[in-house]
Amino acid sequence: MSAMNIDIRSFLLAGMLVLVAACSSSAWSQGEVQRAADLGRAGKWTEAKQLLEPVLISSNYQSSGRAWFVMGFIHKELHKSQGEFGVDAPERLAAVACFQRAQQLGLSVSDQQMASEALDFLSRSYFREAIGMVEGFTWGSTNDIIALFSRYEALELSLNPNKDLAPQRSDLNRYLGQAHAMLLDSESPRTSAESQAIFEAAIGHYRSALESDPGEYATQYNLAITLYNEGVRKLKSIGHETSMFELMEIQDGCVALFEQSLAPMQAAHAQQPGRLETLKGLMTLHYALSQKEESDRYRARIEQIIGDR
Amino acid sequence: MNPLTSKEIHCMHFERSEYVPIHDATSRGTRTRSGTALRDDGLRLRAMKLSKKMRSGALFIACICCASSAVNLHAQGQFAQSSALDESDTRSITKANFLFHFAASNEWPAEFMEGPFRLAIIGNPSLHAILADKYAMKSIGSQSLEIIAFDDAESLEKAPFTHVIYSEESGETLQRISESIQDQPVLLISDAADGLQNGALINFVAVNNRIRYEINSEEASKRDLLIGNRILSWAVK
Repeated sequence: MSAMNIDIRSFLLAGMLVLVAACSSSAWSQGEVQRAADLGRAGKWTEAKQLLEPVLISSNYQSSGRAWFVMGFIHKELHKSQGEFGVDAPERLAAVACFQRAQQLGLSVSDQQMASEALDFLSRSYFREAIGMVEGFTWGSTNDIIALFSRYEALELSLNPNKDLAPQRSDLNRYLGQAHAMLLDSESPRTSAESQAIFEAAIGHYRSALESDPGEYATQYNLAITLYNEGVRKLKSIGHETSMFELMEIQDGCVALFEQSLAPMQAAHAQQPGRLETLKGLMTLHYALSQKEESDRYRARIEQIIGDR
Repeated sequence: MNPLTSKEIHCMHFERSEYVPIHDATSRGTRTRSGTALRDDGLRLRAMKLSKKMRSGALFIACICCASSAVNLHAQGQFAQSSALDESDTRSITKANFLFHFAASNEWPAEFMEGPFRLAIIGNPSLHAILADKYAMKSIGSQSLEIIAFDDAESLEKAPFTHVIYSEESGETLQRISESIQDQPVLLISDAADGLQNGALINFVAVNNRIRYEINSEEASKRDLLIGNRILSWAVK
């Protein structure tokens, strides 16, 4: 009996010690989380990270939503202050992972709300960056742009599974089409194979844009212009050394492009029948296709519109 | 004649670059400009010229509360409308290439194969400009190529011997040009439905949306002009 009492006492004592140890460890770590948050408020994000990182490694805090939540903000602010960019920017990736983990572990209502807003911000930062890369587009950056946009899509869908992102993907594709088309217009030296690849990429992006948004005027118009201009570019490449056979072959290629251009230009015109740029496009296309009567018809329409102004 | 060379049409202002909308993931508000309609979710990024100046207009409003932040961000991205329509006169470019081949691949009597080789364009300044730009420094055999422009057929009367004449005239006017060079080895080229009937030796025609040409070989022979096989082989008639 006495031995049993001793065993029970020993067991209770051991249990208490474990509990005290756990509580003191928790209190210590909660203190670290709070201190890290205070450092963050003071703008000392690097110190905050150095303080909190070891805490998160400890098993006690693997399941603390609040700790991951604070760490998420530290990474997010470091991402902003360091001017990170790129699909694999480590602070941004870490911030996303921390916030998502915090949400899985459970947060207070207000923290949950802030974590969602922070994730939304990070998501849109991917989008902004993708758009920024399209603005300063260089040949070969398409994969990075698409990867950034895919990250944006994935995050947006994690926040709002019902969100329809097809229109934005369509817009991105249209912008990529434009970026490629502008590259074609630039006078940078490139091989004909490169030019062809850029042209095909432009057309591919426009067509992708139209798949998800067939009624977009700008995409139809831009697609038509890119096809037509490529035809003109080929025509201009003819020189005094071009043989008669090559001349005929090039002309066939140009006419094929002009013919392809007609459908999207007509589709754009159907949407905005009074718009002068499409009327001019149709007039020019029919002229290039040696369809004088059709060309004259659009010309008369343009003159009528101008006269009515 | 290229419709784009029409003064009114060339000078008119098109409403290009009015807008290219994008669904703005970086703003929460709905904005409008120039009366452009916005799409369903009101999230759009207005697209304008790709100019760095305008890019600087990006506005970020960040609200950071405690250690966390809730960021509302408004950004403007700038995108140009796609490339502008290339306003080059495509038909004239094609014709210019053909004319050079007609000059280079046919044969004139020996006495006309000395001195400059003259190629005249009547009434199509665009075609003349393209030819002059592309071929003015070239030669036809051993002859230097001279490209001349005439406003009308009358001006031709005072001109020296011209090996090739291109005119867009038709009917009686074309016939008068033909008569003025009768019995001379001049390759008269036209772009008219009745071109060959009115004395042209080569006439441009539209076939399946392409520029092709027909030849009056019989009349060419009468004028001591030997049309080259390569030219003959591509003729539609």
